Amino acid sequence: MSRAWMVGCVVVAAAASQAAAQTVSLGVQGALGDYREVSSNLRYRGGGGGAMVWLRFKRFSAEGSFSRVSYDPRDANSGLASFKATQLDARVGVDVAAGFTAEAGVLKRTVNPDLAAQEMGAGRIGVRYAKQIGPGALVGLRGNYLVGAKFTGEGTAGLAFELGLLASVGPQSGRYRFTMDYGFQRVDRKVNNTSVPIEQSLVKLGVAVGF
Amino acid sequence: MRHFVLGLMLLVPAALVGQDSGIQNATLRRAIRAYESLDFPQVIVLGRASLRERLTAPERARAEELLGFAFSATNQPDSAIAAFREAILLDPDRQLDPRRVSPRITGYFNAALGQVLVVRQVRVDSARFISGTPGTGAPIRFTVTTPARVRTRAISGQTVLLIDSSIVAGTLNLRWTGTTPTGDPVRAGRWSIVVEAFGAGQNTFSASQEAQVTVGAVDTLPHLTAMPGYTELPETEIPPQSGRPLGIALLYTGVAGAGALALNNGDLGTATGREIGVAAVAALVAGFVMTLKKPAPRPALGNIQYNQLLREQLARRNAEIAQQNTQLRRQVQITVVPIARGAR
Repeated sequence: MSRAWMVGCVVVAAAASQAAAQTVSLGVQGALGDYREVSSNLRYRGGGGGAMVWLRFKRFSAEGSFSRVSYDPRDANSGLASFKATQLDARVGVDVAAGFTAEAGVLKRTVNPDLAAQEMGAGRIGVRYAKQIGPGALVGLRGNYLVGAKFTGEGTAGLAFELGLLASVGPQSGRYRFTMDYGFQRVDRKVNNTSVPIEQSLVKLGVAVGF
Repeated sequence: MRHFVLGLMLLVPAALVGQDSGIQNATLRRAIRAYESLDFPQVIVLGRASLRERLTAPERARAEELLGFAFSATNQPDSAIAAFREAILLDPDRQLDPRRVSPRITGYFNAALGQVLVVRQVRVDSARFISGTPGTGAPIRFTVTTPARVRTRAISGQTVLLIDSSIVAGTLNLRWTGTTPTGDPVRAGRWSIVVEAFGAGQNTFSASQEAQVTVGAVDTLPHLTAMPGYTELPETEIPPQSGRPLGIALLYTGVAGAGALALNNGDLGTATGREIGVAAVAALVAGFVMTLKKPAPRPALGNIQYNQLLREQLARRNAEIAQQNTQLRRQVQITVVPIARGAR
């Protein structure tokens, strides 16, 4: 799955870089995560890696990222099993005002081994605001509402959203840059009117190369 | 009477000194010597004798003038005027110097001028002008002694151009524009400015002045590369270094941190804060680096607008110059230089 996704990213980047007036970035990232589910007893934290691809064409942008984090229980004596979470994020955006980008996309998180945690899929719509703070550097905020969330353990999420903090810095040419992408997800999942919430904090630090 | 003769003795011979070097006729030279000796009867005898001999036109004019002086000195006004009239017809440009000739003789001479129709003192001044430009041209000046219809023409080969035709008495000033009736400039070469006077009856007279006409291109104006007195301003400016990038990073980090804290679900316990901490540090480092970094040049909108106006002004001026040059290329510069009589 992840291999196919990465191959896809490279193919997209290679094809996109042939066209004029557009920017393509490919990057690798290290990730740190905190995952909580159901109650304060199910708490995990871990680290991993990932990759991202980012394209821009005039007012339009597209972003895809992949991360794989190995989560371990925060309480080693809890008897909980570790698991690996693989998360795919895809977004397309259009600039609607200075700094503001309207976004839509999908989220897919799978876990291994199965049923160690909830797998989740959802659509997302939201807005991103990025502010240039210098030549080749920007910081930004992101707010996405997660719609139509689906879980392996069934249930629905009346309130599900994602808050993000972004930063990137590099030379003005954009040839390479250091990136940071933080996302905080809160999903108020309910199964048969029983609250089984999910929260995840995931920060990804990486380096991207522009074409 | 004695005083008048004495006055003539004092004035007229002095006026003649230096004028007779080209006289070849012996009788006329004797008449001149007699005049210098104030022997006026002898002047009249020798002058009349010389006129019966073969004389050149200047010599004949000189003999008649000498007779006019002698008749004036012997108080014979009619004869004096008649002699001066003949002298004027032979040499229309002949002029007495009022500083050296007595007023009475000058009066007889002027009376003679009023009795003949001649065109005197035809002058064409040197001039350089652009063909067809209003108010320009080569000045032409002449004097007609009695009222007459005067036709002024410019003639070169088969080309005859009418400059003016009018009734004139006295001095007339004209300008030759150097154009044909169709408005085209005249061709270069030697031109004769011919002035013909038609008096009462068959009384006519003509005089001319030669002039060399050269035709050249009119200088065009160079295009401007900059507006004189104005220079373009730099279109970018480097803003002063400030802590703003760090401030913005701090603000955004604070918003994200506060948001994550506020939205945290209490049922799940507190988050570790490690992730937001790492994110905050990364964002603040980015802000700090940008605070230390030399700010990027930013567009100076005022200067850009100023330069744009300057360029528009320059383009407008160059368009005007191009338009002027288009007109100038259609024009020609005419130079008229009079040719001295006898020159070829």
